[in-house]
Amino acid sequence: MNALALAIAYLRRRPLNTALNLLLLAIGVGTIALLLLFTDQLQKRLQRDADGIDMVVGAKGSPMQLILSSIFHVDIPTGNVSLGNAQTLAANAMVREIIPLALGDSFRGYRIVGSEQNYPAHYRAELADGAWWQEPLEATIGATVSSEGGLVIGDIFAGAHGMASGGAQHAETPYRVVGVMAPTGTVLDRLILTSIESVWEVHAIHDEEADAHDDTEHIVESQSGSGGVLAHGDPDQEVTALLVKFRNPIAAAQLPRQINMQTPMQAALPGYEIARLMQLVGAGIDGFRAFAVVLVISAGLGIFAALYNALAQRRYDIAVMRALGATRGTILRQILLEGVLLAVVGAVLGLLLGHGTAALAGSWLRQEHQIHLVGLTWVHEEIWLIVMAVALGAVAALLPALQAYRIDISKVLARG
Amino acid sequence: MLEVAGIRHSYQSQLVLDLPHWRADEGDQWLLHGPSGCGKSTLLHILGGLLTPSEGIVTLAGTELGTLRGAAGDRYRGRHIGIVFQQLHLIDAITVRQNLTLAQRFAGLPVDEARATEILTVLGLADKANAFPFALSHGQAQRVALARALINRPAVVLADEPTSNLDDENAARALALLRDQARAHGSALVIASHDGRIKDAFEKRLELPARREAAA
Ligand SMILES: Nc1ncnc2c1ncn2[C@@H]1O[C@H](COP(=O)(O)OP(=O)(O)OP(=O)(O)O)[C@@H](O)[C@H]1O
Ligand SMILES: [Mg+2]
Repeated sequence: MNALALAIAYLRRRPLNTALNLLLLAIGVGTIALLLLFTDQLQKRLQRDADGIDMVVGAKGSPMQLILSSIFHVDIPTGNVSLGNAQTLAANAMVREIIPLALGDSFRGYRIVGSEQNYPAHYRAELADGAWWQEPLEATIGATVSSEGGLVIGDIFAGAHGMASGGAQHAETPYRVVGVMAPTGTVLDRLILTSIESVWEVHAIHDEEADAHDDTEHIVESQSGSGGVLAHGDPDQEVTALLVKFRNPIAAAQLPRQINMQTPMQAALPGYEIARLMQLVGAGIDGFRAFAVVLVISAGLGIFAALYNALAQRRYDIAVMRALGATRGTILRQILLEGVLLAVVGAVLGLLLGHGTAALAGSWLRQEHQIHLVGLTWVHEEIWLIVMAVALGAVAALLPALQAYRIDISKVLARG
Repeated sequence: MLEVAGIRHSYQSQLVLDLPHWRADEGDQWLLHGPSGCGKSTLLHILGGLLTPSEGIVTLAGTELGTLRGAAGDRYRGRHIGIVFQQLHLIDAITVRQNLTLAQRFAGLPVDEARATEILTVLGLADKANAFPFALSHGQAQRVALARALINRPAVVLADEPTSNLDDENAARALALLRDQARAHGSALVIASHDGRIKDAFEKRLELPARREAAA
């Protein structure tokens, strides 16, 4: 019969009370753990997707929308910009590299992105199978598009107009899957990549109906030149957005302002917009966190009340234990142990609950939205949740433990 | 073996016990006797090291209890003194066997399950080892309390009113068991009781005089 077994025996003596306090603590700690997991993974995901992209340029509108649509591929694009303006920007000495994007269509909810080889190269994507797109209407797909969207090499599919499935189909100009990328852990996994010219061709036909064939043949041929659309494209054509990398840090201070003031285009800085986004998300999270903290504090009060009330009935037990040879210190530690044990078990249950919920919510969010949340991962702050629980249990048990410490055995036993 | 000298004890400056000298030898069986309120329980607590007398010294097996401070006193009590309380005070949250091994642990002794089994068998409680105290009859609970007092083979067993609230037959049985087991374990026995029925059974009696409640 060691101290731990004795503590468990006493907790089991009041099962309802113990269960209630465990539940309260578990929900509180679980909520905090879930929030930690969510913010951590969201932030990491946002940072990974935006890593290395200094500036995004697109049509005027909301800068947040521009970032969301062109880096993270959620939200709809702000519009298109003329390739001529893009070409002018590409010539700027402060620009090291531009990744042009042509957006607008999707297949089964996966976005079709017209771009160039430097786009997958930016994310260090590698081919799992097949080849990169080369010829018109060839597509190389992300790992998730293959595993969950069910596309394989050789498949022919028609893009749908718009970002959600169910838009008008471009049935006359179907794509052919020529390659599948290995998983990158980035937004790329959920994209269908093709050439910008392919996107143009699909839309040219769509806009001008069937008799525009000659025209599109011409456009398609122009893609084969090195340097891509920024070097050789028709300045009157349009792209949706440009992912820009700077040559030096000074560019961040000058280029965005220059673009916003002197061109019909808009420049947005991913770092700034992500910080703003996290702030917005953070405001909602703070509300949840306050709720969770209230739960945890109630659990602490519950543990205190339970131990304090139990003390009235346990006075004789404690006096007898002292008579049997237990020291004041032993009794003090015994009561503290009970509080800490309750808190730690509650916290561990809470962590399991938090991670379980994250895993469940994650599988749902992945299907409904493009948010990635996994349960089987740790955030180092979680160790603080355990430390906090130990402290909570000890503090809640302190007063009852001191009361037990001070019991006058002779007086208590004389009364019995 | 167990000896007191110049013991006086007061509660809130009211003297309730005045015992200039008394001693019990090894294996002795004593009855502390006297009317209610004469200080029997108080003396028993002093002998058991549960209460420090206002004045005087208690010596058990050559050790003066008053010199043992804090944890040392607790350990000494756990090891050498067995106490049977009037209300028994078994710990309800744990089993009969755990009540016994807890007494070993709190005394600072290694847990000896075989010893627990042995004493439960001797007292006819072998089949109750894993029962919880609240599920025992009063007689069984009394025997468990006795087993717990004896498990560490104490030098002296103290019992406060072991026969109160029992009918004649059960009182005689409880007393006989207490005396037999104390003898079998080589422990001295000191019983505090105002029960007139058992008075004549003891050769060694310490009569405590009645105290007037308001005496200054
Ligand atoms: N903690 C205390 N505070 C004040 N007075 C006390 C306390 N404990 C006992 N007394 C008083 O001391 C006197 C002796 O009490 P004690 O319990 O030792 O008597 P007793 O002989 O055991 O009586 P009983 O036969 O009724 O058990 C009584 O007058 C009692 O009221
Ligand atoms: Mg008494």
